[in-house]
Amino acid sequence: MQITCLQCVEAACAKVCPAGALVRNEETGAIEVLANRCVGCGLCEAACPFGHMHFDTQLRLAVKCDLCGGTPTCAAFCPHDALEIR
Amino acid sequence: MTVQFTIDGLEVKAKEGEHLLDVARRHGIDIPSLCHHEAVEPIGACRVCLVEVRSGQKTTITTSCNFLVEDGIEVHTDTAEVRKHRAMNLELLLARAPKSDVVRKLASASGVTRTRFEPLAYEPLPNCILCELCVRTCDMLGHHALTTVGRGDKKRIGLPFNKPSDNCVGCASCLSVCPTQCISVKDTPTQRAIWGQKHDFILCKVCGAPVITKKHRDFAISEKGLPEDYYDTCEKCKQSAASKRFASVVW
Repeated sequence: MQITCLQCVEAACAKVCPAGALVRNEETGAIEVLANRCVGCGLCEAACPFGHMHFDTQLRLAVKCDLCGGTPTCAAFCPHDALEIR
Repeated sequence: MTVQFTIDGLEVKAKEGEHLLDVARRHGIDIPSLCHHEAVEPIGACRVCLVEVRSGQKTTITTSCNFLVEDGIEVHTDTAEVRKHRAMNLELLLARAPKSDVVRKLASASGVTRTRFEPLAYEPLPNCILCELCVRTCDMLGHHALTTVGRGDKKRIGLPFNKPSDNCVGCASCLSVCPTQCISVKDTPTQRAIWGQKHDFILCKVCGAPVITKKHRDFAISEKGLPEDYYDTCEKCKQSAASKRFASVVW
């Protein structure tokens, strides 16, 4: 499963969320899932044009890239510096 | 306006109109609950989130999820009285939902491992505790498909009059929020069966995998305004299309 996200300026996931569970973290710029507000309807997964929203069928919650709180582990780990955050 | 009070001796500040359980959790004080969800209005149905509230000479045992905070109150979340009442409520819930792991775990944390009450054969929703979180969520989403049906010990959750309803879009949020996960949802590659009704899935235009139900998509289009083609491809096919598109871009 690919769990990256473009953190769109006008994000389809946040637009369709009926519970206000997808909000932008102003510090990191990432759109984050407020797990306590998510009602698990799956609309965000269906609406994301890039396939970057996921629905965890065990937890029955939306899951997405939150930029690891501002320092993405994928970018730090990549041994070839192919990933960077800017 | 800000109100100030104490929870287990800790000075806390909150906005007027906030509920006690939310304030407590924000301050890292855990109060157990089953029927609370931040996206919907609390109704104090499960009676697990009991606390003791002292105000002047008066002491009350109350549900914290729907208790509006007041200035100067003294809240205690773990007194002998709170534990006694919570244990009693959990013993009752254990009779209603004897096979629910979450109820059994909560009960055992309160020292309740068996119930003196006759367990209910609660068909067709074994382990339903009638907390109506599914009903409240369905209402919040704007579907208004679920309700309570019947009275007294015949009371159940279901579609109105137990008859098929056009309002249900088959989103399965009711199952997602259900604390005892007692709602039956069965998916086939083309259809979802829920509440005795079958809903056709939109199938991915590339691989044919189910995306969401047609009725859910139609509701989303009318409410949220995103066009139809946002919902016509599955997550994986959208990912690979996006990867190909981005790979061709020279940075």
